[in-house]
Amino acid sequence: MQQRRTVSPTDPFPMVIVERLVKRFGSFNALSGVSLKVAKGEKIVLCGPSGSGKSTLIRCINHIEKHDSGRIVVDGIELTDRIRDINNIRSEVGMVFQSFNLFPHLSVLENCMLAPMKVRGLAEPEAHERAVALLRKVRIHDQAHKYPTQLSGGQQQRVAIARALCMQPKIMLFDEPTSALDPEMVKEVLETIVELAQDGMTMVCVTHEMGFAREVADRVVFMDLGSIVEEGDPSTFFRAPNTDRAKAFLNRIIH
Amino acid sequence: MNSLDFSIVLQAWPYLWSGLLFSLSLTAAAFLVGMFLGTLFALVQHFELRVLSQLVRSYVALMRSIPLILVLFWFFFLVPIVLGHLSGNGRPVPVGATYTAFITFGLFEAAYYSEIIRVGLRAVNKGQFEACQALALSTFDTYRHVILPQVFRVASPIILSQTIILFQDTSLVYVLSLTDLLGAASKLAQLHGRLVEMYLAVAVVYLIISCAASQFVASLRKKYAIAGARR
Amino acid sequence: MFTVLLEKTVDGQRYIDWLVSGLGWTLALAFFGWWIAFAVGVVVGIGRTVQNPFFRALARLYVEIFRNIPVLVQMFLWYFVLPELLPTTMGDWIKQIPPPWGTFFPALWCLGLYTAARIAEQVRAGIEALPRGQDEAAAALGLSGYLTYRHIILPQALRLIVPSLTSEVMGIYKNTSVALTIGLMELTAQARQISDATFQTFAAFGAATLIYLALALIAYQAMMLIDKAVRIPGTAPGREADGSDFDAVKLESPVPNGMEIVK
Repeated sequence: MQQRRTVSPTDPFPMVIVERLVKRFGSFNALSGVSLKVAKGEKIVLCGPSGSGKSTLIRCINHIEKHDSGRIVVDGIELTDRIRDINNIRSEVGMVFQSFNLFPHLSVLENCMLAPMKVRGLAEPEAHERAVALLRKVRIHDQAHKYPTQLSGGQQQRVAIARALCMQPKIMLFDEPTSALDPEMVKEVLETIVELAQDGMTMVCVTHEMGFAREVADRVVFMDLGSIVEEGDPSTFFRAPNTDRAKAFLNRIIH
Repeated sequence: MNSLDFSIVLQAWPYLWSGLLFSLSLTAAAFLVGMFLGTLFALVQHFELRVLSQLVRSYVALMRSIPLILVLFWFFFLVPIVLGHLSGNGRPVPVGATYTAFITFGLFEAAYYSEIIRVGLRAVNKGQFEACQALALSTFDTYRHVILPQVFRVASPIILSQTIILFQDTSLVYVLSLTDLLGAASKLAQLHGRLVEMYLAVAVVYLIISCAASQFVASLRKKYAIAGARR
Repeated sequence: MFTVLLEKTVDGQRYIDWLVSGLGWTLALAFFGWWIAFAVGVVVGIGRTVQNPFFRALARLYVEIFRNIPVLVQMFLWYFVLPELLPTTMGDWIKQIPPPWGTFFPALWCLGLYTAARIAEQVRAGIEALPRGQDEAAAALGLSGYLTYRHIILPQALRLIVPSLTSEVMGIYKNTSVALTIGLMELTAQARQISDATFQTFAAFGAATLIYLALALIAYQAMMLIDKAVRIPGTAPGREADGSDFDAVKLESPVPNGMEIVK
């Protein structure tokens, strides 16, 4: 088993700092004061029942949702309302969505080249080279000239991962990357994410795939009703969760 | 019933042809101006820019509620006055019916195109915007490279249908006595006393052009229907 | 600004009476034309969907012809061309119909049959949007083709297309202005006549514009009421009736949001 990496309380430079984060949708408290630190190279799996705030949390980290109060610092950049900070953070944070969100009018290759050229200012040959390399990494380079709708769900999600990697992010966020997939395609996507983890990428992954969590997570964070209820290393968490809520949740998802 | 003599149509063909060219260039100009302004109008409403979007909405509602002929009359009357004020000396500038027609159709069609594009913008999946945010694309790049190309593609059958209607509507410049296809036919018809032949001929020309264009649009629709089914 | 409308005209009326008379013709054209359009449109629309290839082709031909010739050209065909093509006695009889009826009837048929082609396409879209199962269920119950259309298909299809019919209502009332080209003194023609007589162009066109706007609002509200009245309990409003968020039916459908602002 690989060496586990977690944040020591004294780590002066964590990759992500979230402090007392609050997010409301109308009168509903999606996040009520969540704090979390993610170390460089650390892999965190976020789980919890639906509506527990886990997706909202990672969507706040790159400001796709605007938080109401609290602090978010990514790689030393504090997330404020300034568009400059937001874009600086977003270009260091890769995100993979449940529903892929590929651009249907652009080919696989163009999907991967757009942001590096427009945001990073890469010239076309470099962007092309990088895109091909990363598509090869997720083993889909032979489909580079197809359009997203011509691919299976699993292939689309791997393209989405490659597209995010083309920005050379320092951290990757996964928002239930396999929930929209047919069962036979879950594996190919999870394998891709596992390989990425083995390369040392920092990642926060919202998922219910517990086998995956056991394999790659340094830490499992369990959320319910907008708060972090319990966290710990995966073997302990799955074997003997401390709280009743976590026990109830695990019972439900393991059937 | 008098005997029909369609040889008059052949003799008149060069004149009709120049009329048709005018109709087509008016259509093309109105399409370009209308799409450009229509996209701007749609974006103004999409971004909910305060005062501006109210203005645009009222303009669109007004244009869609009154007959094109009345709009032509309005512009024929107003454009010289407005240009007079813009040029500074306040005296109306005589611009002539041709320019009026170009200005009117461009501005009038903008209202219709903007509605199509506005609905198209609303139909774009929220995830597309989120993906652009996650990739740190600027608002400009987001719309320029991701959102608008999708809107234009999905809406293209409807945009083209609207353009076919526009082509037919250009015949209304008859009320400004312009020499478009119908205007040319009408002038010759009066001159030679051959109304039946000329108007039938014009009807057939319009029919052929519009039918061909509609067929093209239908084939586009089909293509997209298949692409959609594969999803 | 509008005081000019209260002044006396040369024929002893007031200008506003001209406008009212024009409005009368506009409304009469739109109202009676609409019923022609609706009746013919439903029949042709059904024709587009029946099994019989002959009727289908006929319906298609009707739609293509009436939809692809500009309404103004059609107006001229009805007014100038038709009487010449008919047998001489009949043609002469038509030409002797006294004004304004001599222009009203050609305009009426023109607008009615033109709009019918557009309505036929909406009806067809409505019928095609119904799930196949409806047909099959009716057949399983032993309903004939006529009874299936009469009691199962049409009642649902027509409800479905109420929102898109709104835009056809708006369309026919706006197109009434085309009748001025053959000399019918409807609202736009009267506005121009007042403008020519008084040089008060702002007042004349402004008054006509306000009347058209008011009519558009009334037509829109009326269609909303109809949509509400005929809606099947438990179904979404007509425009949300079919799943896709982006289709022709909805796009071509009624007055934009903008209308709500004017309201």
